[in-house]
Amino acid sequence: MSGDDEQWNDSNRAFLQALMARSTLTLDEAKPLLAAIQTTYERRETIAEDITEADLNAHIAAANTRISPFDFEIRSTYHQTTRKRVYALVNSSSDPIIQLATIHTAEEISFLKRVLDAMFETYNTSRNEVMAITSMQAVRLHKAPDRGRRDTQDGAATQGSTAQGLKMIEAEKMLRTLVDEGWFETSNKGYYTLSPRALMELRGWLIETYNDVDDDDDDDGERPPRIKQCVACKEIVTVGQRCSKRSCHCRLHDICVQNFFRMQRSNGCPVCKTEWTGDSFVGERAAPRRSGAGSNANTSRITVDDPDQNNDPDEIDR
Amino acid sequence: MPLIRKRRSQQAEPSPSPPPTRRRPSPAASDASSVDGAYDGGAALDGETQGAGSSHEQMVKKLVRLALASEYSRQPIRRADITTKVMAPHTGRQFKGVFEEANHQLRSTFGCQMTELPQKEKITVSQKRAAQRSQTQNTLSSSNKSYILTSTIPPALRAPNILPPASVPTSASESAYTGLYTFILSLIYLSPGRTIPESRLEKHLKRMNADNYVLSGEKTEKVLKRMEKEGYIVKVRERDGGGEESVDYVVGPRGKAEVGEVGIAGCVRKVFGKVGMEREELEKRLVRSLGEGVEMKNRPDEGGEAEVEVQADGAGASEGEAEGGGRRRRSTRASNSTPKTPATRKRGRNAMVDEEAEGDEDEEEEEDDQGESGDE
Repeated sequence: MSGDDEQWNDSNRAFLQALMARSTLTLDEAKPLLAAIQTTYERRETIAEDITEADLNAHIAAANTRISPFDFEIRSTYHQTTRKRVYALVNSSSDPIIQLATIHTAEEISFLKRVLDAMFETYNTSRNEVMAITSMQAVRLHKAPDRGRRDTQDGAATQGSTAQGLKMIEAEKMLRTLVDEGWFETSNKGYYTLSPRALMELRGWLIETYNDVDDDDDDDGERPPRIKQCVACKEIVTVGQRCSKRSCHCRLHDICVQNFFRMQRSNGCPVCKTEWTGDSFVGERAAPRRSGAGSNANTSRITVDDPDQNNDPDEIDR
Repeated sequence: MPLIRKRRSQQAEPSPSPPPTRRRPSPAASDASSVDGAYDGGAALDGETQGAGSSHEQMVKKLVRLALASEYSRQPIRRADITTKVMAPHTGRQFKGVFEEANHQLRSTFGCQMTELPQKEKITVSQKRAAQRSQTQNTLSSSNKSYILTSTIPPALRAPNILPPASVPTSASESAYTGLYTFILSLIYLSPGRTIPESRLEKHLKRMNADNYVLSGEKTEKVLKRMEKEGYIVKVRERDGGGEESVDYVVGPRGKAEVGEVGIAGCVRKVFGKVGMEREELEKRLVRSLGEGVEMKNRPDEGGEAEVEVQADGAGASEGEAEGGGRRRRSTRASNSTPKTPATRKRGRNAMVDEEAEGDEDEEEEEDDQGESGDE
């Protein structure tokens, strides 16, 4: 927390502001950005191709040192399906102050809370771990539930006006805005999922909110927690694969599967040793009765009710 | 910034997922944890010398966060809010120290600072009278001061290819909004008496085909309300003797602090883009309309270096589509029109937003004729 120094100059500040101005940053986006900053700051032409991941990481490391005293942090994660690494500046602690940092009304926020509840409770059963929501399903949540709201997190909803909810058209708009703002992503099939950015920012909150507080440890939990982490990378899985044994709570990202089993040298679930079939899913592919071409390389089959059934070769791409 | 509240800090999480790549020890990843450690260490140190020191630190940190959070939603940082949200009870006297330290931290870490907003002008006769009556009290009391964040990094580093309009909610909508308020502020600044009758503003907006709807598809009326609410413009209603009501717009506190004369001058320069003799003429006029503060004395002739290409980002594309109609989109050339005045000038620039968003240009360019006529 000192003044100016060599490690932190206007070029770093510009980078930090640029990061704050966007919801996420990828290496591809960072290249022209850092090149422009260097060109301007050092008065020496730098082209985007000159920027390496190490440069970006150096910038981020420097920034993290400076901003952590203020409870901000630049995190990075991999996109669950594209495997792109994304960086975002997130707030790492919650206080009433930071709650000002929204352009949404209290009603909109409580609608969002209902959507999240739906994603992680209603549409996240042990049978169908969808963890996503269609816009139809989401818009239906536009009204606040009649009977007293249950368990609103520290007043996100209660502090607002009384439970009126949104009009359907407002709910639709809110969903679009959430996509624009980078909190949600939409899939080809029209499902909304949490974006990597949202997962980074809400990581702790999600686990705290949706996983029972009692089951302190992962081991021998009879009922697996609602939010599960990838066995390989430890990040939350909302799109990925699951162990074919329904009671097992082992999950893996599609992007982690290959490496993981190569390292492990066996094809069994790391937890229960059941053979990993790769056709039991988390995410929209686990949704019941909605067929259609899978967007992913794995398979287009919707395997829900029969996780133990074995794969039909013609439906598996590889 | 979160739009959902979290109850506790991440550190307390039972399973703080380690950064995704453990194979590759990236500075970013390892930093996240190591820094936490460092910070904890720091806190521990402070903890030993407990008491005033650490609560001072706490307040500084809170104020920094308050400032950044408020700016996100374009709310002014009110002195009263600082008192209730930041200052621990019975620490009112430390305000100055906390404020200065927080501003120092904002400058040194984030490259921005809290700038005091000018008081709202008293425009109507009744307002003036009321002000006279309660004069000393009101104008001098510090309790109704408020601040906004303005950038302190050099203008060159605020070019749109470095700092695009913030994605709140999207970069495109932000640039459209920024463009529109800059345009409207220019109209007001360049109007006689820095006030523009509502009818005249409407006429201008009509020429821009923005009299009913603006780029984003929102109603113009609603957008003007937003500008009013955020302090860019102030709507003044006054009844004259004959009972006829006049409605005028003047520049609001945020308009002054964030854009100001210098910002308007920069925008006009960019729009007219004159060179040589004509440029001198333009400069003279600018000084005449906006005051000497906007003179470009020390400015090196910008040309090569400052010219930066605007990346063809989503903003452009989606604006094109969303246009309510009629508004031409020019190919954006360099738009580093940020005025390069010496830092000593009062230059209000929103830290998070770059006014010189390319969005400005399509709108500003049509203003040419009118800006000029208003000027003469």
